[in-house]
Amino acid sequence: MTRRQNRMLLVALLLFGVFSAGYLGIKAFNENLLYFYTPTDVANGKAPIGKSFRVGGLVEKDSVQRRDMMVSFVVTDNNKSIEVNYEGILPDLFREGQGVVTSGSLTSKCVKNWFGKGCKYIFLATDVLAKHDENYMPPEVAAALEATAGKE
Amino acid sequence: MTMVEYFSFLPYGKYAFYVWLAYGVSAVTVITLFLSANRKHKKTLINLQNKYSRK
Amino acid sequence: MWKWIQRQSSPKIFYQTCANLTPWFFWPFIGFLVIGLYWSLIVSPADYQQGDGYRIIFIHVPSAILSMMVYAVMAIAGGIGLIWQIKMAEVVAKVSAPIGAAFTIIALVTGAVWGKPMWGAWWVWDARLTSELILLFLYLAYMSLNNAFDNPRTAAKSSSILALVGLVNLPIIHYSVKWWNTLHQGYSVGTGGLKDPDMQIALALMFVASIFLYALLVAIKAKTEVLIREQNSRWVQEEVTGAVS
Repeated sequence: MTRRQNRMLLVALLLFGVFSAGYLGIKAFNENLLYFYTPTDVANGKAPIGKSFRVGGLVEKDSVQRRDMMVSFVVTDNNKSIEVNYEGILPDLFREGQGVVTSGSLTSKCVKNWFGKGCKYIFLATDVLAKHDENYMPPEVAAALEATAGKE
Repeated sequence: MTMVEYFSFLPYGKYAFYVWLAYGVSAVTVITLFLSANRKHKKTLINLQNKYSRK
Repeated sequence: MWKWIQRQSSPKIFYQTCANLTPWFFWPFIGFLVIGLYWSLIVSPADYQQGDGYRIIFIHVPSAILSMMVYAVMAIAGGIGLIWQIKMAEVVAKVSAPIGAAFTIIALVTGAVWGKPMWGAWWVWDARLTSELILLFLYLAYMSLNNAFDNPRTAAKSSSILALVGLVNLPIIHYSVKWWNTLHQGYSVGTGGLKDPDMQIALALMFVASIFLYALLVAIKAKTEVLIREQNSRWVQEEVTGAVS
């Protein structure tokens, strides 16, 4: 082998090693790099209970209730949903139907009524971030898109 | 009065501070990069010229 | 064309080429930039959700793409220098690093300034933002490694290996929004995310301007680097004494 072939082999091996190491690294860190859990994950018990974590999804239509600085809304991934309580300032893009990522922890809220005692999990958020999508358009186009979507 | 309110007289109103900050920082970075590249080239030419004339 | 590329491996011819091309990069850059800014700031309509705040995209996206493209060019040029021992490829790789780092910083800063009003945070540790920050560290590591050696050839060799290793970060940055749940939104480019033709034109103009800017800066910096490396050769002496007198 000439020296050049030697070097080429070295570089090729190096690249191969790096890419396989990267692939394995990604697989290993996949869980840790998950920025947020979906409500379905939470319902399936994948989210850590008792520790703080993030829940992301869409703010359900007509679910936002405000009282002073307290806000309560439902985050959904169109499969499962979870109620979120938050006290503080919301970002500009927070609105019903929009994406949102909240961080906080789960707590159970129990209510007594005629049928006995019922408990459900609610998410106490310490932080709410808005997540927007990759679409940008003027309002007229948005209105036109909505109109055609409604016809179908 | 916050910075955001202070700069809201500019075009883009409540987003003026953010938009102009982003464009401003980028402009400063690009201009600095260009000027420093040019300056370094001129300096190198002068340094080499001095070096050759010393011989 | 191939012959032309081969001839560029001569430092003298490469220097001449850079000198000749500089105005051909400078004026198109200015032209695309001016029209691009006009299209970004005036012609393009406001967004239905983000109002005028989304206009940061016209700087953010081109600089983010360039930050990755420049890295690829740097690593490939470094690899060519490593395998075929072409010194001018080493020069291109070396001078690309600070330019790429600058594009990365612009992408990160404009992203933060955009994130604050829209998301509600300057910075979050999601996969997209974290991997772009790692790209900046890769550039900085490359630059410090390149400066750590007195011999430019040794410096080029070791830093090229680092650059090739770091290539693995590029697909991670690109696919991060797909592979993981991120706060960062998905692709707008190439998926029809920009619904308005004027928005598309503005982004395209700013992207072309960025490419000319990169080429322009490489040409200027490469000239300087070639002069320093070849300072003991006769043609440099002639070039320098002729250029100043």
